[in-house]
Amino acid sequence: MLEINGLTKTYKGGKKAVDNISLHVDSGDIFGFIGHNGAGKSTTIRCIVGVLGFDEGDIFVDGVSVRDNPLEAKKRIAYIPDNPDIYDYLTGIQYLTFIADIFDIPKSARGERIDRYAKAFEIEGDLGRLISSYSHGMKQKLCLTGALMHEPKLLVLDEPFVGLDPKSAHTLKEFMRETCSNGGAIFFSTHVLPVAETLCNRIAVIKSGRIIAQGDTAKIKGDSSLENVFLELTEQ
Amino acid sequence: MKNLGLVLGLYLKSLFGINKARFSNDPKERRRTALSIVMTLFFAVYFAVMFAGRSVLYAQSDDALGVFSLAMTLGTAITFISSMSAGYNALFAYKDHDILFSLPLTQDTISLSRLLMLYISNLVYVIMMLPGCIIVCLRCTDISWLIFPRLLLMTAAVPLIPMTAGVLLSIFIKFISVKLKLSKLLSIITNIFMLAAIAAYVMLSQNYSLTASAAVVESIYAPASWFALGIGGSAPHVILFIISSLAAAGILWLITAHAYNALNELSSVHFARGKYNADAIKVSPPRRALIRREAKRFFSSHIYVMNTVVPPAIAAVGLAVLAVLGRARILSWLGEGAESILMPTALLALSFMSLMSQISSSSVSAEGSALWRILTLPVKSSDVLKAKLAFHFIVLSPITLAGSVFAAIAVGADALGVAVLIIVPQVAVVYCDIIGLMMNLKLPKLDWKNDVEFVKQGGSLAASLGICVLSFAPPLVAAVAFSVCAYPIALGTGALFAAISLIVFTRMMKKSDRLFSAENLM
Repeated sequence: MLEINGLTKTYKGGKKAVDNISLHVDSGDIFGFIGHNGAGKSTTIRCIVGVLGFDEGDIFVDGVSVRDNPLEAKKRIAYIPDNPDIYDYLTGIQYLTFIADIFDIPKSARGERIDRYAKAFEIEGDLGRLISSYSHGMKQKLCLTGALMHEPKLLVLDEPFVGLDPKSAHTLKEFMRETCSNGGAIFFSTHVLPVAETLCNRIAVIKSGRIIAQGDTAKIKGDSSLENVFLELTEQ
Repeated sequence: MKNLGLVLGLYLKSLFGINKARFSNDPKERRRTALSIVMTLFFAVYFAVMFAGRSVLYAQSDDALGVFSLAMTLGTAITFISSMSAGYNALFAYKDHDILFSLPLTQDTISLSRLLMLYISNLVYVIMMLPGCIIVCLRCTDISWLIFPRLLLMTAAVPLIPMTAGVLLSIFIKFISVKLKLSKLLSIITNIFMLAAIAAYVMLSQNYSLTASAAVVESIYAPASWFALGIGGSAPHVILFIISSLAAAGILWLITAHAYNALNELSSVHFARGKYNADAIKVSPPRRALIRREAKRFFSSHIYVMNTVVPPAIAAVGLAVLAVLGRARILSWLGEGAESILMPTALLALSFMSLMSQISSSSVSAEGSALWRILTLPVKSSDVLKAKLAFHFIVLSPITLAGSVFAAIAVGADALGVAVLIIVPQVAVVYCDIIGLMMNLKLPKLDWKNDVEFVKQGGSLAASLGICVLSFAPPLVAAVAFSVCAYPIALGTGALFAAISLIVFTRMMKKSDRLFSAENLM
């Protein structure tokens, strides 16, 4: 579902944020991407979803090259950043309608999907208000509703559980499992290692722009905890 | 006081993006800052020269001292309207609210620092009036040079009373708007005040001599008469003016400092739940959805609307009035020999108004921190840019067309004249649209904290205004100067800039993926 081959990204000024990383995410995988602050997680994610270009390598989403066919790739992706700044001047429903228009969701399906996900995240009663009045968590939930609504093949999430109440976090996990069981895949970064440990069947650890470990979660952590393994790996 | 200096210093660093330019490795930041400063200075000099030009006329008359009252009145009006428009946000809408209030800083210090920032920005408007006053002093030998210390002292105090009135009024209106659930009430009332002020100025200057105008203002606004008398040499009135100004500012500070949280709470919106209407789930093709998004962004900001659409709308209304008055009346005002320059002058004014109305030059900056959203959607960059261009044109073209029709009636244009008056300003709209967007792609400002920053303080606005006016206007000025050849010059100008617009548009679309990308914009 997601294949990254030799991805390299250097910012202006010569800082190499991502250095020749390769990984793959199969359908049905929940893939955790973990690393310390400034390791290159957000840069990698932004390259995948098409916000940033990259210098070398390629990224394929469901077989579509992000470099050669970005629009087709984006149709298969839903992205939630760590800080979901969206359009304060729209109401929740206007934002969702906009996303539905861009993804060409048929009218017959729109109402039902908006209802389903908005109710699941308990924001259906707030969709008539301006987004400027939403808390951070509500904006997060609105972004999630907008993301799940077009039934993406690949869900790319940057710190998705920050700002979510426990019930919504549980709901999100359920939807993540549902996406995977429907043939999709999840790629998310997190600092919350217990979540990665329980949720992800595969993980990669990135340090200073390079992958230092990747594979099945159970094999990587072995008999230890993911936290201990992570600390060992990143201190080397 | 040390803490006041620290907080004020923090805010001053954000002025014109000076601190960012100083510490950023990105040359774009420095260019943007330099452009902002240059254009602010340009406009300050421009208005100062305009006022100074008028002052020369009054220096030749017995009304010489009245120019000081005029300066004070204009400064007061601008400060009042500006404070009413921005006062509430200046006090309560800073994003550092939580951080500052969690620090060991008193409310006195925080509110005073914000009031001082508001005062500094308003003082700039008032200072622009000084050159005119100085010219009067230099030309009138019977005015003593001792007037200068009084002038400077009293000028510094001019913004205080109108700032107090404006800020308190803005808080009150905000409170009412929350109660009535009318979020745009403040912007509507500000617009009404601004139009009323313009109408009053026009009426006074057309119908009254300067002395009579000053008398009218002084009868309504007592500090204006204290100012005039103080400038004239009355020390008690200098003291009265300064003390009353300081007292007003002191009252404002006391109220905002001691009732800050109460005022903030009273004028904050408490939202009830808002279920949506299922009819709100409309279906649109992606391109229409993009244009609708632009429209929602634009109309959500009264600053954006006021600074782009309101001026040409006012101009169109003015031209409608002239159309009603008719060509004969206009010629009687302008005098002999004006007949030949009537049409080219109308064309110049219309085109100038179109070039000054810059919607697209802030449309990329308007994306702000939500840029990621559009970059990650499956839409072509070219479609996003076309939506921005289309919106600018959709809004401004009809207003310009209306102005053209009224102008054609007012000047009694023949068929060719009507065509010129319609076509050339429309070309100006398109040219300004495309250049504005191009400049915003080159000089975006995405890290704004309020709408004023990206609408009025962006480098792209300055660059676009400069390029548009300095390129488009001179041939039309030539059409006025050489009115015999007005039609060929005007039509040639229209054709030339239509071609330039097409070339720039084509290049922009070719490079749209690179131009509208995170690498280029961030």
